[in-house]
Order: sequence, then C-alpha cells, then structure tokens
Amino acid sequence: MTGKDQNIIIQMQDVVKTYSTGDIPFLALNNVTLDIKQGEFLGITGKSGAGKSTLLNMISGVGELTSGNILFHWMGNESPAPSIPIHSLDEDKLALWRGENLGIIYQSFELMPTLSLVENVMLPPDFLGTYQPLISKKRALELLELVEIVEHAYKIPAHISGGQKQRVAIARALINDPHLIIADEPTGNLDSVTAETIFQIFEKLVDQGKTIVMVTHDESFAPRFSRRLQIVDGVVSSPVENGAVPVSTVVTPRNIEQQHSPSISTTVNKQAFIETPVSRIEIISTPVAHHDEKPAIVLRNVEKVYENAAGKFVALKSINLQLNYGQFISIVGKSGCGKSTLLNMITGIDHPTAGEVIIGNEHIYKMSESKRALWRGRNMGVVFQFFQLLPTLTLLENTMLPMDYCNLYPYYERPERAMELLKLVGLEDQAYKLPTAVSSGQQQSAAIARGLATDPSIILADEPTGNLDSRAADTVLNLFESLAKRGKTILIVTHDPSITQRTDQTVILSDGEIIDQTIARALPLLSHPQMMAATKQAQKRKIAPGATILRQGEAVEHFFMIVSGEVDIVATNDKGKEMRLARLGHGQFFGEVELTQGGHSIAHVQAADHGVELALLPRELFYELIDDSPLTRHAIHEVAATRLAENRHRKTDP
Amino acid sequence: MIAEVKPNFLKPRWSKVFTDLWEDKTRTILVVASIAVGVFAIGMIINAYVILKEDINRSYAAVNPPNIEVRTDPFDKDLVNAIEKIPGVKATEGRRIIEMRARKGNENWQNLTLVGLSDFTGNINRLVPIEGTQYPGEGEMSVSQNMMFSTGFRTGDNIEIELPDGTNHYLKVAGLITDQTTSKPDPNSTNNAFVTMKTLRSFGLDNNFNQLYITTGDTSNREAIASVAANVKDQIKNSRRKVYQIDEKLSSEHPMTNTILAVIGVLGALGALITILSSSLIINTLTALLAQQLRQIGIMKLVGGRSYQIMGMYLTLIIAYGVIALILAVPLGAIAGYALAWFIANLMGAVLQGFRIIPAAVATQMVIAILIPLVAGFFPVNSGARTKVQQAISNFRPSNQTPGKAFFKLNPKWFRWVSRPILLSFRNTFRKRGRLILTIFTLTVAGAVFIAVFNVRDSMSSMMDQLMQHFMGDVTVTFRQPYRVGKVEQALLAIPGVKGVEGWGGAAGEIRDANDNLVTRLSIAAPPQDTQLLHPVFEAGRWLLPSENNAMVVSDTIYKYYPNLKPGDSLPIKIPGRETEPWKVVGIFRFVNMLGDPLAYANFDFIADKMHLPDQAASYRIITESHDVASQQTLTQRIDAYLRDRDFLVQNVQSGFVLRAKAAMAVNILVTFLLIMAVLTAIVGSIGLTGTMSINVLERTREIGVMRTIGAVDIVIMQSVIIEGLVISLITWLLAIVLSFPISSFLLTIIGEAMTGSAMTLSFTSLGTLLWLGVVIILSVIASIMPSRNAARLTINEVLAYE
Repeated sequence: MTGKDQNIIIQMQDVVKTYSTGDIPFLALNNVTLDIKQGEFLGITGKSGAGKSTLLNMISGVGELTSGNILFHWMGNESPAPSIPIHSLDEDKLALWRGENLGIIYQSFELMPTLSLVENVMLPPDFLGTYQPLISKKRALELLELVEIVEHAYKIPAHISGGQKQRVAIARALINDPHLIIADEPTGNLDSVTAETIFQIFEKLVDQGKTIVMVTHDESFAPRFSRRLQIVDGVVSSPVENGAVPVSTVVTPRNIEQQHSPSISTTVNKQAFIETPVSRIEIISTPVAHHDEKPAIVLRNVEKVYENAAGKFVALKSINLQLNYGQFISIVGKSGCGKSTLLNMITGIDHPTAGEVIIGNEHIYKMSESKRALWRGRNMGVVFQFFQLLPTLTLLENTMLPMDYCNLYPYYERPERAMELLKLVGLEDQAYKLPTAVSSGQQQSAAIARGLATDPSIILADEPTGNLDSRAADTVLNLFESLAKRGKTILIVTHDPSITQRTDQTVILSDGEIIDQTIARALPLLSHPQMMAATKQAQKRKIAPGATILRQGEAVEHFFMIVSGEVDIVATNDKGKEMRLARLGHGQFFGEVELTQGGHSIAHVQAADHGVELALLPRELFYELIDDSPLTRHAIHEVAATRLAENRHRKTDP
Repeated sequence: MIAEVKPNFLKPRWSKVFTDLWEDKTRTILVVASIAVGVFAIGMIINAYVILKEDINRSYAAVNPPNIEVRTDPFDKDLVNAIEKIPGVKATEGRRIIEMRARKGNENWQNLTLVGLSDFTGNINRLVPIEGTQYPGEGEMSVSQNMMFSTGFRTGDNIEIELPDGTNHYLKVAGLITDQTTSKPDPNSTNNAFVTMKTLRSFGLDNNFNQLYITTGDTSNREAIASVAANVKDQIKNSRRKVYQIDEKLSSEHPMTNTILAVIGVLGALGALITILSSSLIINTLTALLAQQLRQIGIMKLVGGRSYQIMGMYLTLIIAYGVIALILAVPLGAIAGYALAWFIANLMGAVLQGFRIIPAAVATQMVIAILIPLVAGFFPVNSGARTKVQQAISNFRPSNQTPGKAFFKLNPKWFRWVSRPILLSFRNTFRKRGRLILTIFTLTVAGAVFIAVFNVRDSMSSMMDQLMQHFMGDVTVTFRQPYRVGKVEQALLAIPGVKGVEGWGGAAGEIRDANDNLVTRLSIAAPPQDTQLLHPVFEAGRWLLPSENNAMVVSDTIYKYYPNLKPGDSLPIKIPGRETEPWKVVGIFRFVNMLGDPLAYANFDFIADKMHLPDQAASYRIITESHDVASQQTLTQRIDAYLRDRDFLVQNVQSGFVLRAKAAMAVNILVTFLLIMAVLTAIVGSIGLTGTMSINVLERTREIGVMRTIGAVDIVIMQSVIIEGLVISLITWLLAIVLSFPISSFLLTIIGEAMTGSAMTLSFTSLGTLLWLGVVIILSVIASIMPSRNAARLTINEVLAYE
C-alpha cells in the first residue's frame, strides 16, 4: 500500500517487542498493526505496564523491534512520497530523521538543566544544522509565547514549575515544525488545570494540521481524541465504549471473595501462600489487637508546600485522615494530585510543612531523620513502583537486610526467616538470584517479602503494580489482600481505579485535597475537580432517628447523599396507606428524581432507627455538575427512572 | 508580545558545554585538578631542568673557575708568573690553604679551610658576596656558605681560630660569600674562610702560596686542559716542588651539573608518572560524567543530535577543562620550577639569571593538558555518545544497573552468614570494575612511589652509614703528630663515656703501572686488624688476616682502573719513601665512585712499619657509650679539653654524628624533593579516591534512600560507604607494597648512578609502608565520609527523587 493514498503518516505492521528481564522474556507489544493518519489526534490509553510507552518508543525508533516493520510516509510535495522504514536507519540517521520529522514530549519534561528555556528550545535546529542566531531565536520565542511562557524565556528549568517545563518541552518539540508529535503521558505529572491547558495546546496544534499521538492513562481525555485506542498487555485494540454504570456497582465496599476471581498464574501460587503454615513465620502480629483501640494512622491538618525558585507549590492542603488497623486502603487520584506526597508523609520519607502525623502512638516528625529511619524499618514495610531491590544482593540477602539494619531476630535465624518470606511470595527457588536475574513481577514480590522482613504492622506501597503487566499486578494485589486478611494494614497508592474495587477504603485526592468519600461513592463518574467542588460545597447534616428529612409534596432544593446511617423512603399509596418504599444506606442518594424530573417530593424521607448523617448539594451546583458530566447525568437519570418505575409499581401494589 | 530580539551567536549546544562547565563546579574542580596536578608537576620539572641547565653552567662560568687546580709545596709569586708563561695558560692565581679549626664563643670547634688571597679582585673563581661587605679587611674573614655547607657564623661574629701550629687568633666575619667549588660532595669537605695574605702575615705566616689556580685559553676542551696541566706539573716539579694533587675541569660545566640534572630527571620521571595517574582520574571522572549525563544525551539524540555532534560537545568540554588546568598550571609550574631551580642553585652556590617563562615547558604543558585528557576522555565520550537512545533514557532504573559479574561467580550461598551491610559494602566495591581498576591503579602507584621514597631514604641513609664508617668513628681525634697507641688509649679510656679506642694509621699511596707511572692515587687506611668500626660490604674476597703484609682490601672504585680485578690479584703500590712493590688484593668492598680515588685498607702494623712509626698513630677513632648528638658533642668537648690538658697536640676532635648529619643534608634535600613528588602522587591518588567515592555515592543516592527506608540509620550508611573506601584503600596498600620494590629499585639505581656513580643496595623500611597505611586509611575515611554525609543529609524523598 502507499501511505500517501490514505493519508497515513505511520504504518506499523505486525510489530512485536519482547524484553528480556532476567531469565524470563516479557512480551511488551504483541503483533501490533496500526496506521496513524495525518492530522489525527490519536489517544492511546492503557494501564501502566500495558505497553503504551513501548509503542511510542517503537514509533520514534528509540527501541529496537523484535519483529515487524514501521514505515514513515510524509505527505509533502514530493511525489511519490518517500516511505522510510524507520528501523532500518542507523542511530545517526534516526536522530536526523527525528530532528526533521518528529516532535517528542515526555512525561518528565527532560530539559537541559543548564540551558535557558529559549536555548533549550533552540537545541533541535542547532543539531539539525538549521540554526540561525536571530531567526531561530525569534521562532523559539514565538513558540514559548504560544505555550504562554515567553516571560520566563531566559530562566533555567530549575526556576520554573513542572507545568511550565512541560510547555517548554512542547515548544522544543515544535521548533523544527515536525509532521508528527508523540507525547508520552505529557500531563502525567501536572495538576488538573495545567493538564487541561497542555491538552488544549495539543488540540490547537491538531487544528493546525499536526498529527499527534498521545499516550495517557487519564480516561477523562478520552472523548477529546479524534481516535482512541487502548492497549492491554501489548495488544492494541479499539475500546468498547461503556454506557452509564449503575451507581450501586461502582461504589463498592470491599468484598473481594465475591467480586473478584483472580486468575492466578505464573510466579505466585496463591494457594501455596495461603496454606503456608504460619507457625514458623509470624506475620500476623499486633494489628488484630489494635482494631478496637486506636487508629493506625492519623493525619491532622497536614500541609505540604514545595518551594523553589519557580515559587511555591502546594502539594497537600490541610489533610485530615484517620485510617484503622487491618484494612486494605487505596489512595487514588491523577498523577500530580499529591498521592505519593501523602504516602511520603505517612512513611516519614518527607516532612510535612504543617500538621501532625501520628502512626500508632508515635508522632513520627518529632524524631530525628536517622531515628525515624530505624523506627520505620521496624514498624513499616515500604514497597516502591520500581522495586528498589539492591542490585548487588540476592533476593534472600535483600530480604534479610531490614532485619540487619533494625537488628531484629537473632542473627542465625535471619536467613531462615527471609527464606520463609520468600516462600510466602513464591520465590524460594529464586532466593539466591540477583534482582536482575528475575522478572519484574518477581522483583516486586521480593520487595514485598523485604517489606515484611521486620514484621511491620503497616505496609505502604507506591504504585506497586505500576511497572508490572496485568498478571504480575494481579499476583501482587492478591498478596496484599492476603496480608490484609492476616491483620496487616495495607496502604497503596495507585492511579488504577480498578484496584480500588479490591480495597476496604479508598482515599481520593485531587490537587492536594481529599475528596469526600460520600460524594465519590454517590457520584463516581464526576471528574475529580468536580468532585472537589462538590466536596467543598456540600453541607453536612445530622438527623435524629425518626426525624423527617423531606415531606411528600415538599419542594426539593438539595441532592441528598448518605454519609452514615440509613433513611427510610416512605410514600402514601393509592389507598392512603403509608408504605416504606426503600431503605437507603451509606453512599446512596435521594432527591435525584425530583431534581431531574421536576416537581415536588414524591415520597416522605425520614431518618431510620439510628439516625443519619447527610451531605447536601444545593440544586444549582447539582445541575452544574451533571451538565458538565454527561456520564453522571445519564447515570442519575437511569437511577431516577428506575426508582420512579419501582415507586409506581409499589404504590399500586395492594 | 516579544520585544526586540538579540541574536544568540553562541549555538545552544556550545552554550550547554560552557554552562555545564560552570554549573557543576565540583566536577569541574575535580577534573581540572586531575589535569592540573600532572601538568603542574611536569611544568615545574621542565622549568627547573631548563633553568638549571642554562643558568648553573653560566653562573659557574661567570665566576671564571680554574681549569687546573694544583696543590703543591709552598711557592711564591715567581712561580706563579713562570707558570703564567706556559703556552695555553691564560691566567694564574696563587692561594694559601690552611686546614684549621674555628669556633664562635664556647661552641664546638669545627674544621674550616682558611684561604689566603693576595688580591680579592682577582679574576679566577670570583667570589659572590651574599651578605656583609664584599671583601674582608685585615683581621676579617669572609665565610663561604650555602644550603649544604653552613658554619652557622654570621656577619659580625667574632670567631676564634686555631691554626695547625696551635696558635689561636680571632677573626671577625666580614661577610658571607658563595663559592661554587665547595659544592662537590666530599665527606671531609669543609667551608672556606677567605682572608687577605696580610691577615695571614699578621698570624706570623710567610707570604707563600700552596695552591695554584690556572685558567687555560681553551676552557671547554678536556684534552687541551690536560695537556696544559701536564706542562704545569712538569714546571712545578722542575722547581723541586711536589705536586700533591692536580685537578682539571671545564669552565663551561659546573662539576655537579650532571648529577643535578640526573636527579631532576628522576623527578621528571615521577612527574610523568603523576601525569599518567592523573589521566586515569580523567577517565574515571569523564566516564562518570557521561554516565550522569546519559539521559541528557538520550534527549539530545531524541531531538536530532547525532553521535559526532554529541562527541564534539563533550570533547570541547574536555578541551575547556584542559585550558582551565593550563591557565592554572602554567604560572604555578613556572613559579614552582623556578623555586626548585633556585633552591638547587643555592645548594651549589650558583646564581640564577632571574625568573622567566620557559617556552619548552609551556609547550609541553599545553600538549599534556589538552592531548592527555582528550586521549583519556575519548573512550568514555565515544561510548557515551554512541549509546542508544533507549539505553540512555532508561538508565535511571536501578534494576538496569548490573553488578560486577565476575564477583558473583562465587556461590551466593557461601555468604549466607556474612552480615548483609558488610556484604553490600564489599560487593559495591567491586561493582564498577573499570572505575575500580583505574582507582586502584592510581592509588597503588601513588602508594608505591610514597613507600619507595622512604625506601630510597632508608637505603641512602644506610649508604651514608656505610660510607661514614670509612671516615669516622663515633668521635675522631686527630693529632698533629703521631702518638703511641697505648698512651692515647690509656688517656682516652679514662674519659667517662668512652667505650673503646682504635688507633688508625694511614698513608697516601699510589698505584703504578708496569713502567712505574701513576695509575691512580690510593688512600690507604690502616685500622687495627680486629676493628669494631668497620663493616664493609664485600663485593668479593674477605677482610685482612692478622699479620697479613703487602695485602689490602680495596674499594670497588678500583674497577674503574682494573675492571677485571679479583681477590688474589696483585697491584704495584707505592707509598711515600718506599719503592713500588706488589700488594695482594684480598677483598673488594662496596664504595661510591663519586668520592674520587680508590680507598684501601691494610693491616695497622704493616703500614706503621712501612711509615716507620711502629705502634704509633695520629688518628684515633673512639667508640662512645651513648649515640645521640648532644652527648657526643659534650664528649667531644670533654675529650678535647682532656687531651689538651695533658699536652697532647690535638689538631681536631670531631663528632661522627655531627659530620654524619652534615653529610646527610644533601641526601635529605633529595629525599625532600622525592617526598614532594610523593605527596603530589598522593594528592593525585586522593583526588582519585575522593572522586571515585563521590561518584559511587552519587550513583547510588537512590539506593541509599532505599536503605534508609528499610531502617538504615545515618551511621550505618556512612559505615557502608567507609568500608567500601577502606576495602579499596587496603587493596591498593597491599599492591603498593609489592610495587614499591621495583620502583624503589629503579629510583635507587638512577639516583645512585647520578649521585654516587654507583648502584645502591635497596633496604626496605616499614616506615613508608606504615605511614602510607595511615594515609590511605585517613584518606579513605575522608573520601568516603564527605559524600556519604552529604547523601545522609538529603531527605529520603530527595534521594528517591534523584536521577
């Protein structure tokens, strides 16, 4: 085929990419065949480790193909258009090709730290040989103006914020007027406002005729791509568009045994670790006893402000949080919302600017950094996204290390205990291997074993599945579930919403603030900034048992969400007899029928036996929210329709 | 809106090169220091070499040194005038030389050579005043002084002198002068004190001379000078005077030039070594720089940078480092080189022509500063610039870091019971093998040179001890006339502190050829057969047997005349007043060529007989009970007073230690130079170790964060890094001990040949080894503590965010 005929700029044919991590090959791209058309804004979504970045690396010629072919067609004035098999070019020709045709933007900005912003932008024409002292500088400044950062043109990257750096990276990607722009999570480290600005710049560029391929795991951008593909375990496909998801199925308390049937495979045998006799290795420790006593983790008015030459950046805003022992808790939110910062406050890895962090009974920031390190080693297990095993030690030695550092367990017992822990995570056969000799999933399992070495009551994990394929991720999550069942408190940071379905509690962060869980449960399809707006404006009300909340026929001015307790929905039927239509509990809502259908309350609502706490959204805000979130509107309408139908049915029920 | 735009003439990539240079000052200082140390050392040596080569000979020629120096029986002006008429003789000057002793106040006596001149404005061997008045008046003297030979007398001092006739007089020091003829090493050499002939006459001495200085028409032709010397000798003999000594030399060449230049050559070799070592530092630092900037390289390639462009950037950076090093090292090298030359010139009494820049030094420094870093840096830059983009931009993941594979061929199960923090330190040591090898190489060579310098010092000291035993006892008493040994022994043994006494005889012998012509003079010493003071190292043969007549033990300097001489052979020997007769050589001992004529030992009784002085000696060597300088000085005074009280005609009493200390000064100065070079190599080594440890810690900053996350307290982290530094240091220490042997041997051979004309025996001292152990331990702790403290100071969050 000829790309020119069909306006195709990139043509991927049966592309396979395999990585060799340790002894086990990992299939990152599985027979990908894909055409990218000129002028399209192609969004590629998928979970971490799905193969998104690998796909971009293949297009830019950064990574080598295992098999297949990638052709570049430029629709210029030349006829016929030259088709360039990208992966047949040597490194230097590839660099030249990239300089002429490609603009690349990464998540982590990647500017030359010692050059001013304008010099950073002028670097590509310098390499391309088209640099002209005045013209190149003018163009660089124009592009910086386009991305609205020209006033900082002569600063160095350290003196501007993350969002500003990303704008510079975009300007740099555009300076050679490339035909194709590829962007790997360009909004990944940015707050939502900046992310939106960047995305709008991309939209503007597409309007100007540029072709953009953007990888993201932020589903909220999905509708704005001209085409969207998803990638799962190296397989690229068009996503099945979901309709509205019923509220009750989205807001899910943890019931893992019912809701989740893990397909355990490969490295960790779930059966094996569940059946591991616990007599020899004590991982059920204090938490069970703590359950009814004091909370495991308390944060009071915790604030974190980062300051650099670019100014202040508020990462956490007055966080109040209490988490109990023996729970599996997830912290979710978009990249840059402050998840990792919050986790770092709890682990004592970073200092809060204000506020208190109390773990168990300890005010951890009253200790010195060094003392805190020892305390942390004894009381917390920390698991990182990139495993962070020490590369010169075997898995067994890595697992023994915390015991050595914290001087826990008799010296001669440590190898045995470490081996038991590795057995627990299914790695006893790999114990004497170095981290580089095992797969990513196995490395993460070993990191969890290391996290358990000192038998801490709390395990904290920052994106523990972020660098794993779905199978390995599943294995790790099973392991966490199992540990939570045994009494450990597990706190994981993730941006994968599907993980929240497996946890007891979810803390949602948006731009450094915690979203009210009631709102998140009741209106899960709102964007995080919308949830945050709702959180800020919601009024909390406590209602005594039996007290009336709404009378039938009364005008409804609020959208009601149940924080705790229950309400009874009571209506008078055709025969004038009062009957209870429904009892609603935590996370459920009422008032939507009247607000969406118009009119007065169709039923009488009163607090149930133990009273109820409600969160009330003013009607104007409610309308504003559902107007901006079609999915929410659709879901609310569906619930309202269902309830109305049920109501009618019951009212006529003799 | 964009305001008026000024063009950027410096392309962004060059801007990156220069801002990189400026922004990371620590790295720039490290690389520049690595280059500058070598460039400085080489510059210093070349500057000193060239300046000395040019100036010493010029300075020597400027004083119009004599080409022929004759010691003869007293003569008057007539003979001087007669000799001046000999063809080839340009000028002559007679001098009166008197060996005497002098002291200031109640200080110890010291030997001094009194030189009487009839005219201080004379042309030959012009004296250069360095302090006080230019020429002494009547009752005054000018004392020769230089760094190696100092009397301690200052201008204005009133000095008591004792002439050989036992009369005492006082002379005022009018000034200090340099006399280049005193710079030649001689265990018996003394300072000269110059007086007018009028002053000598005031002491009751006649107007005669006993030394003749002659300059020849052709001052640079040895044969021409020898021919004139032969005629002079004949003329003197014809005047019925004996010629005791005749020396011939070129005016264009300072007698010590070759020695000094050879020694500087040794320093130059060490300088070259420092340069090589510093290049290994450059490789290490640049490899680390490239590793740190790998991600930036990846990004540059992503935006269109090609390998050659990136290579160009980093090679330019290297050149910039070289230029900065050059800017620092050229003036410093020139200053230090001149200072070194000045110091050495001072030792030799020479005067330099003033500070100047030596183009050859600058040119060499430029080549070294630019070329060596470029060559050293080419490989890391080349491999960095050619790194594939994917590899470059994914380098931050710890899982991609591969440990040193060879080490892990050992079964990890064997280490099951080794503490993991210790294991971690050990394995980290061997993680970056290339870097480790270069660091070990640098530190090992530095250590080996350091240890070798101490070995050389010790070997030279042993050599000095060996040499001094031929000339000195613990205390040596010389009488103006021979005394019966028994009498002197009895007197001396009565003095507290005297443990033993040996009377030594001697004779000025000559070795003759078959035609009874002089082959060489031979100093013959005759110690008691069972002497306790002599322990010669035999090249061949044995010591004298009792009552062995016409037999001698001779120094290996004899090989110059009889290369195939072996024990059992006979040599025709003539001693004054006796016919030439064959003496059997029974042993040949090690000595130094530099000290001139061969030395021989014969039995005391045999020589005493030959000299018609049975059982008599004029020289006595005393063995003392204590061996420290202070007690020997006191004893010397006590012996002197004691003997004089008993009417012995004492010429002088000398402490062996004092003389030994004086003679060792030259050796100490050389050792000081060698130590300076050793310190420079140690600096290079320490920069190497500090750099390596900094880079190691920097690269593992994230791992340190992980360690702290899992419970490692600050002290544990510091301990981990320090152990790593210590392991490297101790490895290099062991290797340095081994390597110090060939280096010591090499240095000794060159220095021995240059300074003594003979090879020296290597003696190994533990001092250097232990000192170096201390140095490397302290060094490794400092080199490890600083980066690990910095790492420990970072919050874990900063550490984990580190890329």
